Amino acid sequence: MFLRLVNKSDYHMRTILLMLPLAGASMFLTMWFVKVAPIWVRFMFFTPVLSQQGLNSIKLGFRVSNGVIVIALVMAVLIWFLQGNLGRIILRLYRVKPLEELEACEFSASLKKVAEKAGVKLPKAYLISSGVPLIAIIGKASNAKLLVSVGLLESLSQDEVEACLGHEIAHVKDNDERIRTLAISMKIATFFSPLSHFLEPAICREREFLADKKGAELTGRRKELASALIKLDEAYSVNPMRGLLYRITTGIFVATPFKQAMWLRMFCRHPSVEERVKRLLEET
Amino acid sequence: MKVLGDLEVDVAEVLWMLGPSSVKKIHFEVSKRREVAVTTVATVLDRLYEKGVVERELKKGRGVYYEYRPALTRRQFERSVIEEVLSSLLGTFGDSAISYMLESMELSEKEKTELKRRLERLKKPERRSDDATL
Repeated sequence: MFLRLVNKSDYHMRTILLMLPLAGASMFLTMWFVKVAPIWVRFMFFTPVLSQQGLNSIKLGFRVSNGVIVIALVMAVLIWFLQGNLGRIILRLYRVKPLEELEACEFSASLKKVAEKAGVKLPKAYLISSGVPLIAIIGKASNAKLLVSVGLLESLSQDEVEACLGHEIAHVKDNDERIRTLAISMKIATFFSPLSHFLEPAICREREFLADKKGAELTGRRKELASALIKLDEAYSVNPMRGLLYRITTGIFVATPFKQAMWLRMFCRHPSVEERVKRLLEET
Repeated sequence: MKVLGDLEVDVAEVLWMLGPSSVKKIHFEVSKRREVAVTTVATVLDRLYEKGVVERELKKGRGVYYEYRPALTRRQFERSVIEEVLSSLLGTFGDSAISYMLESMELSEKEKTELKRRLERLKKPERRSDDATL
């Protein structure tokens, strides 16, 4: 609701506005749910007059809730520090191979051109052995890895591939990997707050809109990006990807490779392709 | 062998017609039959590859692409699908399925005996596996 106060295309401000309640209100809610609520429930319904037994159970409740919070925080910190290694795990899961410059000259030239224009270090390219059109970027800006499938290279035009590269490089330039990891870490730390499960995907969706905008500006291929998104969406809706691997790692790709039920879209890390295309064309 | 969907059948038929081809070439032919994006054809081919209907080879050069070719002839594929459907029917309904097939078809006694013998042969592996589990 409060996002309506900010311009739709001011993505940085919208990210901050989403991040603040995630960090603050969610933490408060978590504390309330885990610590105060059980005491309140016990006091109101079970032990109106606090007996020794009641006090003991409250102390136990405190110990358990402290334990839960500590575990959640440790997990959040672990996720933050594991960020660099997650990339390596994803590379293994998809069984990718390094893509040498000579193996795909046009693609490598486009990647070099877009990275130079954005002023970021050239990401290392890896090939996913799949006919499904997929493209993703993982890792920090200093050590980014670009994953592209054979299916994407063979089915999109060179201009559309370059437009997709613009989107991915924009993620690198804006350090979106860090922002996403921070949001996920905070979501895990505030796992018991329902609010965090809406805010974290909302932050990711704002970053996707921003990457679309910046990517299109970088390459000058706004229409091609829109057309690539439509083509990918059509492929994914006719033939949605199956398997846990795609489900877990869905956030890294340029678009969600599944059919999304309308009511589940608020939990999705990608905005709908219709909305993305609409904004891309509006910004023309 | 798994039974194919409508679009998968169209793509497989085009591939049987063309022989070894790239996604773009297959898409060009499929789009004469129905409106479909090239990315959709690429995902369908990937699924056909997983089902064992097509084979593919990675080609590199100016660009990277797969060259797809049929893993089975059309006749081999039809045979494997029919075998699977029949085995599944016989496994589920047993003798009732055989009786229904014999009654519903207008066959001579000789043809009926031959069909029954062949169907029994298809049914046997299922029974053997049932016995083994017992």
